[in-house]
Amino acid sequence: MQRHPLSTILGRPALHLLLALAFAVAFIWPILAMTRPGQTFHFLYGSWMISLLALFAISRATPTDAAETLNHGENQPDASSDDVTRESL
Amino acid sequence: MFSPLTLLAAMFLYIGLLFFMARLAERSERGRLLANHPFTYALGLTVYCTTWTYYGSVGKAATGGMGYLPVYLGPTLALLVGGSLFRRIASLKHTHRITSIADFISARFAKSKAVAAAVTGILTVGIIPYIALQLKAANQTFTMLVAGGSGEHSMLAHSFGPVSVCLMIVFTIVFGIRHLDPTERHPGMVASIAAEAFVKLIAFVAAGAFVVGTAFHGYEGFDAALARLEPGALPLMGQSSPNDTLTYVTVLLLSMAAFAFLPRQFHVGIVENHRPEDVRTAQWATPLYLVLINLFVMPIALGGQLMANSGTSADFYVLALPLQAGQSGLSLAVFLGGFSAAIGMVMIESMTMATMISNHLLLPIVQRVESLQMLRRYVLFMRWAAAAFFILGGYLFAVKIGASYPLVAIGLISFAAAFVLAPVVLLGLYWRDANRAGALIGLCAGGAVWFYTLMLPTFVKAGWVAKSLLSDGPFGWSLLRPEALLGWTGLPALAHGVMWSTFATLMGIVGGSAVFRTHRDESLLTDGFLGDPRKQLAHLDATSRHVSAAEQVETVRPLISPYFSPLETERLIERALQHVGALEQDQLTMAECAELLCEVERLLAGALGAAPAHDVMKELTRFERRDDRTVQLELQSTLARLNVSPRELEEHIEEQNARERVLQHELEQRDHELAARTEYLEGLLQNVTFGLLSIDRNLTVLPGCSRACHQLLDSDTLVGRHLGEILRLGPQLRREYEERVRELFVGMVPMQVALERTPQRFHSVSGRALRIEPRLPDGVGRPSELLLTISDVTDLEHAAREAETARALVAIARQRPAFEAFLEQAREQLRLARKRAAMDAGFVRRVVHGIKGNAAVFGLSALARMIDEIEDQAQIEEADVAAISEALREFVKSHAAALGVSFERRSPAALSLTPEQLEQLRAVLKAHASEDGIEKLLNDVETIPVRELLGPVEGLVARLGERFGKKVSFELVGGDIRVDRARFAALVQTLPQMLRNAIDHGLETPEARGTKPDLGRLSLEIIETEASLVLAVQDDGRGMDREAVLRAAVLRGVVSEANARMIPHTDVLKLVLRERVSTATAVTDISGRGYGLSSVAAETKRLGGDIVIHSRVGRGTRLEVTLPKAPRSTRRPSQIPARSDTVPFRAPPQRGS
Repeated sequence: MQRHPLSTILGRPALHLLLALAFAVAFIWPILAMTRPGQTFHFLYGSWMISLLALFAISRATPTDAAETLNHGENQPDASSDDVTRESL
Repeated sequence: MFSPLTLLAAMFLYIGLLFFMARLAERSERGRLLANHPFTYALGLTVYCTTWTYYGSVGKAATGGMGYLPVYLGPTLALLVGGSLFRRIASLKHTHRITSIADFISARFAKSKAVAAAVTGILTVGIIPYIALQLKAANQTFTMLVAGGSGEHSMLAHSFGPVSVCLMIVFTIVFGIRHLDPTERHPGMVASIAAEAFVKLIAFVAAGAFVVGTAFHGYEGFDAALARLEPGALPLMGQSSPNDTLTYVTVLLLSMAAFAFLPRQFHVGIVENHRPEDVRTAQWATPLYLVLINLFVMPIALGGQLMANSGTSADFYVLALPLQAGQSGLSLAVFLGGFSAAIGMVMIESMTMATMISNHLLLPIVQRVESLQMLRRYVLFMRWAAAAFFILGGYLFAVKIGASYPLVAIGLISFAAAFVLAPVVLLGLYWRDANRAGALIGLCAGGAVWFYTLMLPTFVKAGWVAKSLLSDGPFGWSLLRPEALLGWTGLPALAHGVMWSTFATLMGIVGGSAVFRTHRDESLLTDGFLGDPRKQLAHLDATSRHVSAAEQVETVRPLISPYFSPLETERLIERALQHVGALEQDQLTMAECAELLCEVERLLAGALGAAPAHDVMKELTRFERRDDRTVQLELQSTLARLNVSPRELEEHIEEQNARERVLQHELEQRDHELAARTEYLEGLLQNVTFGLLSIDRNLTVLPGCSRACHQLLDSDTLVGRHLGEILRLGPQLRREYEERVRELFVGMVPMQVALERTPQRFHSVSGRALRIEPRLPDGVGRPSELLLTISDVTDLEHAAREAETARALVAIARQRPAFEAFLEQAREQLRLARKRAAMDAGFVRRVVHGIKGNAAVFGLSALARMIDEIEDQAQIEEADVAAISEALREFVKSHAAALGVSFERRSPAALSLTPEQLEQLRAVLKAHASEDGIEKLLNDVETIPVRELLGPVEGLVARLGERFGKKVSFELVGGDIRVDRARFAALVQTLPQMLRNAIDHGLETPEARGTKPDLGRLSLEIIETEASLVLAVQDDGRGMDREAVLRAAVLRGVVSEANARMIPHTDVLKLVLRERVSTATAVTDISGRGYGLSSVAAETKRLGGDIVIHSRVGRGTRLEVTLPKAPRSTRRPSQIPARSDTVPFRAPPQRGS
């Protein structure tokens, strides 16, 4: 299947890490820098909403990280569901 | 506001609905689809939102400003950066059958039981405060709702704490661990958690909307109130102290780890994961839920500060505000929402912890201690006990310590415990050199520091430990103060504890891994765990072979070529390649390569012996150094698939080897026993007097026949020959035997029936009488060969014949007049038959058929058999008739002395007068006897009782009944009636044939008689009227089926199919009087040829009589022959008995006559 270039880019773990760092700063910065409680409140919730959009975008992306490609049968239902657990019984 | 009972009823109703939903999700297809839906999974993950979120966040917001938010921002960051990590762990769960976080970590570190136990221990202690948080919230909200109500002071209101604990225990067991689930997933429970998530969101949002509406009159009011807040009025809003900020960041980090590594989160997120792909939906849907449930936290907190009564805990504003406003419905909804948050968390957390405690703490002890091993049968009870212990521990914590802490502070202690696991998991996943020893040291060190820095201070605040511990340190060592370790003061307690515990964990795992050597087995397992076997081994599958087949062959060839010619060497290599399935392959996988070398060794062992072959192959370096990595990967893949450690695999292999050795030893013993037994049996077989041989389905004799067979069958060569040829069977018998054997092999009829139907009496070439009985070799299914036992029964048969002849002579002596009549009749008819043999085949057949029947009556079985064989022929020749005549003559001649009769001339006895008759004749003549007297005398001389003409029919009936397995009660009525010998002898002698028909085809076996008595009734009646003689044979058997009669007549060509349809119903039965028409399904030596009744009909016609047949299916048949006493020309018509219910039938003209 042909991958969309944007999808591929959004699937890169490095980008995820970058976004996480950016949003971590966005979540901490108003605490340190803003002086008005309302601003802090709105900025935090606003950046949180934006992070949701980012999450939605990357959840749609094609994974390109090693971990993803290692996940054999990622789209397969849980075949082990009916198997006997290996709990020490 | 509410009575305690009302609240309890509402709780039970709510739980009942959840339980119903869970059952639906597990039992119905649609329910399962819903439970496995990605949104259900995403909602399940919101079990993260407990009463801490529901009540504690508001309290935190009211007192700590934005300090509540990082608890939810953390999961958002975790999903942002760790989405792929989640999917990876979910995949590992599928591969390694992970059932808990302890299981996961131990699986990474060579399935170490110690590591699993350490994780379980830390979490058990760490999560108990979290359970306490839920119970505390549930109890306090219950108390708030019943306050002011009718039952405020009731016992239930005061004892809700213990009651709630019992309820939680029961709910946990019922929902999560009511049985030992063979699968790690609980779709029903996840569905109910999702439903609870929905309820708590709706209730919380409703409460938030209510507060915004009443306190702020809309969002603008809240925004204005927020704008009016002075900077620093609330921490982390406008002005933040470094400690607050540090705590904020710490909580952000803690919540990132907690979202993934808290036992319940790991369970729902990883263990209950249906497809790793579902993580994608959860990546945005779960944070969206978190945003929604947090939208109204600050409004409620500010609204509570504006409106709540003094003394109301900020933690419970969300419930207190609707209560104050008298909103009972909303209050109940909020209470149930909070209860949902509590019960969901307690259920999942207790269930997972109970599983971990029983599996990783209790079971290892049970397995190790001999006296406790009986407890292995009670794992489920152990799990229940663990759940109860866990919840009870939470309750005690809530009662003793919980009052000293706000909800959020309690929860953060648990978050910090889960954070101890984070370095171990992350380093385990991303640092290949992390080993089991390092993990164990890191966990123990981190857990101990966490306990010392965060848990111990709670004991101090509860008063269990002296306060000096915090101020002065243990034994006055200030460097060891729990909240200022190594003198590091000024940090918030949480950040301090987390920093030190994380440091200890990192030092432990890194230092331990560096100091302690990683065992080779562990290293292998680690590689298998960290890498994806599919990718690692992708080049090993059939599509990516990389070992050159030609190279391998070239390596092997020089080793084996010294022992074989070049051609043989090539053949051997080709066979080995063929065995591996790589004959056409240029490249081999490592597995194929190894199999190829093993096969070469096996083939070589066939020529050289096992040990020399092994020595030869030892010279070969099976795997080059460059292949080591590939072999290692193969091993890892195998270990991953088997889900065992290398040590376990070795143990399994050793165990299997030991078992194989024992089996091999036993097998050798059995082989010896079998060989000895076979030798003994072979000796035995060669010395028995009866023969044993096997034939295949073509009757070809198979190798292995016993020595006696050659003597019995008069042949030196048996193997490979056709049995029919050896026995020189006639064409018909040969065909029949072949057919029966075919039935046995093909299975057309039941085996026992086929065996019984197979002919068993034969004669050898030298005239020896043989009994050849088929036997089936023991086994399942259809045989591949048939075992025959051959015994010489010549003497036996001779003796039987003699006995048979003696019986026949006795029977004849008892019924000599009848025999004489039969003899006279037979002689005359045979003479006529010889004359008309070429012209009237039907007549000839009727004659020989009649003679056969009467021969059987008198016990002349050999003659009856001979005639039966002749009847089998397509055409009966004059010579055949002559042979019958000769056989009868020979019998009479050889027993003339005993019988006192001659075949050639009329018996003198038939014309002699008895003394009484002589005296009477003398008296009549003296007295000038009248004409009537003379007539009477002559009548006495010319007539004879029917019984004497019939012969021993009672014996015939008894013999036939026994032969066919039928119980027959026979009655002869009117046997003493005298009939004109000359006129009726021939007809009377056909009557036995009617009796034979009745027994063979009319009467049923006892099993087939249904409701009728087992004893079948058969009678022969002779009725004399003034002008006629009636002979009737009647049975209560199955009766004649008109359809079967019609079919038989059409089949024999007696009537055409078209004409058959036109025959009136009442006339159908008359067809049985025609030649060759018989409803019998099989021809036997007794009947079924269709000539018996035609003989009767022909004789009746000759005498000018009538035949009437009455028959009803299932009820029986009566066949009546009515004969005029005098020839028809002198008979008065009125003398013929008329029967209105009968079908008079005049005997039809015979074909050809």
